[in-house]
Amino acid sequence: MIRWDWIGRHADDILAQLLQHVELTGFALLFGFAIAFPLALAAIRWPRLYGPSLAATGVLFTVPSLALFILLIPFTGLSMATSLIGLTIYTLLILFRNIVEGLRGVPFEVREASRALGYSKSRQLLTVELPIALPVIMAGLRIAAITTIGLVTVTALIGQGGLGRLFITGFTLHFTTPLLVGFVLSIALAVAVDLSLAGVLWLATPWNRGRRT
Amino acid sequence: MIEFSSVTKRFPDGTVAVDALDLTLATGELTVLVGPSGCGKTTSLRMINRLDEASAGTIAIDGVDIRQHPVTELRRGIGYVMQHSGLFPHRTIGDNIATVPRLLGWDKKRVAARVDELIETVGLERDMAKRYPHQLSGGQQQRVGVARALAADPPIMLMDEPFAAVDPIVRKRLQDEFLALQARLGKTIVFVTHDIDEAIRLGDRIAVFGEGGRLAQFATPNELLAAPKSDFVVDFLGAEPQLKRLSLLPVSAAATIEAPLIATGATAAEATSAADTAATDWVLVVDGERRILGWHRVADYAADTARAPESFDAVVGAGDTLRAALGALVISPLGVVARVDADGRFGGLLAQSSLHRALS
Amino acid sequence: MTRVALFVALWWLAAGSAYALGLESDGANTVAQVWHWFVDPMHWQGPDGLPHRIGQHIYYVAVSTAIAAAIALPVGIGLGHYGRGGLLAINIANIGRAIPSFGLIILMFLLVGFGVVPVLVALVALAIPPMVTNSYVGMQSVDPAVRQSAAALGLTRWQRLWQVELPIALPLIMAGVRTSAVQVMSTATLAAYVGLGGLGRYLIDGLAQQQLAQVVGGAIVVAILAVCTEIGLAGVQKLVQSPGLAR
Repeated sequence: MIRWDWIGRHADDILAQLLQHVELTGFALLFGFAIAFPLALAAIRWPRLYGPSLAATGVLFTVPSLALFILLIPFTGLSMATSLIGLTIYTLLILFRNIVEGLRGVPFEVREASRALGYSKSRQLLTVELPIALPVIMAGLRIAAITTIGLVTVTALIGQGGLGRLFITGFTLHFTTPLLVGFVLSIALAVAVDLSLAGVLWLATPWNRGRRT
Repeated sequence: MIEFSSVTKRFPDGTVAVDALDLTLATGELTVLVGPSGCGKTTSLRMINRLDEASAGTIAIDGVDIRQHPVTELRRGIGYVMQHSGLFPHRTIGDNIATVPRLLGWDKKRVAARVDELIETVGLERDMAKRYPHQLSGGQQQRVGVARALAADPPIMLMDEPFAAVDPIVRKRLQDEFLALQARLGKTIVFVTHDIDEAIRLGDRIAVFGEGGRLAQFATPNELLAAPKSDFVVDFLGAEPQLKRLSLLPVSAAATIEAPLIATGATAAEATSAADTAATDWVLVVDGERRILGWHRVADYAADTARAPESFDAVVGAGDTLRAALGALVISPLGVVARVDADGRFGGLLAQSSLHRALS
Repeated sequence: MTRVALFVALWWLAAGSAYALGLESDGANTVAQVWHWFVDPMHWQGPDGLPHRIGQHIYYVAVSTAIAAAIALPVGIGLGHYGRGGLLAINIANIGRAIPSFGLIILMFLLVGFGVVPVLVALVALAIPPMVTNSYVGMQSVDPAVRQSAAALGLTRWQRLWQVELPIALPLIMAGVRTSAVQVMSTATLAAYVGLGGLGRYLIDGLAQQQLAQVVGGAIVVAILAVCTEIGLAGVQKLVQSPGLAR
């Protein structure tokens, strides 16, 4: 089922696709966070925004991936921008929801105490609320990352795709080796990213270690 | 009658929650199981309706081993109230209360009538039947929990810290209402609490559990406070056990002392004679209806029988506790308290010696 | 729900006007093309017509979601009721998420060959994990005090499950079904790549033939269908769910 010599001959190509996969995933998460975070802060400051924001990101999340990418083509063509915008849109619901839930989950007494101790609003957010909300935000980031890694492969149909291109190669050549390479690498990438994000969380929240969540 | 015969409960991890418990709970009485946390009181309660199964020994209700009935049948015949009401969030208050009657197959009319009746019994508004549990306060939810347990009129009620999760003021009110309800219904009640004051207030009998699931003492509240069997029980009863005993006893339980009473307009000689008989140097003045008007020193009265009496406020009702009498005693200028009936008529005089005798 | 519907409409409007803007710079009238594609009677009849394609798409989604539910819900509900296998039940959704659905579809095709069945098997496999996890979490979210009081009132295990635990777990169970259905809807579109019917045909064929009108038209239909499915299932959930659970 697997021809190792094919892998050897195409190692450079595989590596390039893997890098593009990582690149697309990374930028989508970055942009997604850059949009979702201020939106979440706004939704906490003005609770009336929460319902509509959740509904809007929810509707976007519901649209089938290929359809969403295609609906962007008239603006941005068959380009990397199309893929990135689409992938970013898919991260919004998960990130937005978890950031809001994480920040809302900060115990009321903790917020009151930090106010009473004389924290300014921004300082309280950065040094008290965000660290406490981090596990929930991180959980969202992990889900968003895994979802995005899977979705990147779909963009192969509009000319991008990272490891997804190996799927297309496998399909057109009716040849399982490239497909399996892409499949396994995609899962491995998801697992690796998930574990490293878990590791980052562990390093960043020493107070939670040894506590069962 | 609920009988525990050498009942032991050992959990899979090896901890012994209840150790060879022998205990007989009388029909129609409210028995309180009390003790520190982890003493096995809740486990003992839960073994009665088989939420926990005994590892050894038998529990019998009216002489019949509880394992002889199918477990669901047993439970439908025993009311159960827990700390957090455990109401079904997806059902209305009315449907919650109707749970057991419906399981028992009552017809619709009978169920509806019973629900209406119970909502009033536990002091809720009728229109609450259509609401959902999360729309009620904690105290109201607890009332619904009691109503649900009473629904099929079970002869036995098991109550696991039912008032522990509500605030002290609501708790006091729920306790009072519960006592009134029990006086009317006369159920056999097993009541678990870790609060010794609640136990003393509510219980006909109290079973004090010690560490390791052993019964430390089983007695009426008064016996328990008067003669605690061990240091453990003494510790658990806490400070001022005699004051707690006084709060259990009604004023009518104490013997009265000789009272130097005179009517208005009595002569100086009559006053002196009354005081001599009672061995005091003062007299109480009452009107024609025996209502207390005040008091005089005999010497002052002899000098001027027309003088106005000093006011006398150290008065308790016949239904008050001896603890209230003690409270009145400490502010009484004469070292005595007068007992009066509902119409304020004099019924006898209590001194510190009366309280002493009531306790011994 | 009305709010969601409003947003669908707004989103559609925004998308439409954006096309108009995009087209002017292109010089070609894509909106008109898409419009013509929609109104052309040719596209409303026969095996390649919209009604048939929509029907096929709904059929794939309904069948694979139903089969997956028949497998996943008893497993998740059972595990949740007995409180066993939590680690697996909770993590299976994450494992499922890590599998690239597009790759799985092609893999099934290469291994088994062309056919509806291998594709449906892949769709079912993708739909199972979210339903297992959500129904497990739903059952576990039932307040232990409520479980206990149900037992203490003398409900049998079966009555406890049907009358107490399932109704309370229903919102989360339904959330799992919705997640799965939406995901299957999306993946079924991709399955056109290996020859399956349904709305994905317009997208895949249109991309291959570079017919923008067909591609965009198909994408609009499948997007609306997905959003309607989500809203419809949310509506069903509202109907069957006790008002006492809404907080």
